[in-house]
Amino acid sequence: MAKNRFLGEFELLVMTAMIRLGKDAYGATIRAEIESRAKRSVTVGALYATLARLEDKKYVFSRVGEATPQRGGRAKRYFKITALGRTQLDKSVTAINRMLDGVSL
Amino acid sequence: MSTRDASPPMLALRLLIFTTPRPYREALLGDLAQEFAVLSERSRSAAKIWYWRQALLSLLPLLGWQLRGGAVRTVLLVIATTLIGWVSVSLWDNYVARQSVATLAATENAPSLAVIRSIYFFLFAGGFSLLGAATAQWVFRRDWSFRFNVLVFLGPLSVAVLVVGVAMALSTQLIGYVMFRSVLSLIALIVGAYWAAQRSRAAR
Repeated sequence: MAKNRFLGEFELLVMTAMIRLGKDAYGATIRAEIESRAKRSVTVGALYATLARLEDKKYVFSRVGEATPQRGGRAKRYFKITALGRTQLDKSVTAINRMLDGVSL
Repeated sequence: MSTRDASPPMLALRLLIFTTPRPYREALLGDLAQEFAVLSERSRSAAKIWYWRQALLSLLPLLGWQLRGGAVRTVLLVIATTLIGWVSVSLWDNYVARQSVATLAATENAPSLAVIRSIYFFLFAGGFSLLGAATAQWVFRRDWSFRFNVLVFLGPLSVAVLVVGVAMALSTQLIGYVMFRSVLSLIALIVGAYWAAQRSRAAR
């Protein structure tokens, strides 16, 4: 049941990066966003495996975008978070915040 | 910079093509090409090292993704269809191939034994191959690459079939017959997997 699942740490990073990027969220920008903000090295394989899993769960959806010569003529795939994805993200963040409440690190 | 210099390492690229599921392959390779082009402007060797690093570190997550996407289902399908195939081949053998040549042999102007055996051989081998290819086509109808299906599923299956074939041949002394059936079934499965890949490509 999807409603009882919490997001994993990496899933959470990917989804928040997507929200930050808005319409410009595709593989390369999501990776760059996570690396620059979370200071975490991300491989393209791990990112796409996670994006595919999130899409299977219907937390995100994707559409094929434009191809450019710089990309070797290969099209981009843009990702967008769904309403269900936002709900799950909210649940996970709320749970983390509750756990952190009153804890000094 | 020449086009060749700006190209990512061919082997790493092929590795990624092989391991990335088709629906996301174009986007993943495009993202890498885009970043590789930017890095190449600063240092070609650093860009190549970066590309190789991405390819190698992506192997595990990509293979995990492919296998999670349906490996268990495919293994179960392979086992189920092997059992169904065994029964189907036996039925075909007993009620079509043998019955046909028995009817032929009972006629007044029956051909020689060599001709009857040849007809039986073609009826049996033809039905066996067609059934195997159709079954493999159905099992491997997923949108995976032909090479992936052959290396990940048919490779281990081939080894298992050959081991069982050799064991049966040693116990029955019918080495030629058993090995012939084993090789024929593997060819049929590979043809079926290729057939499935072609159909899935045509459907896109």
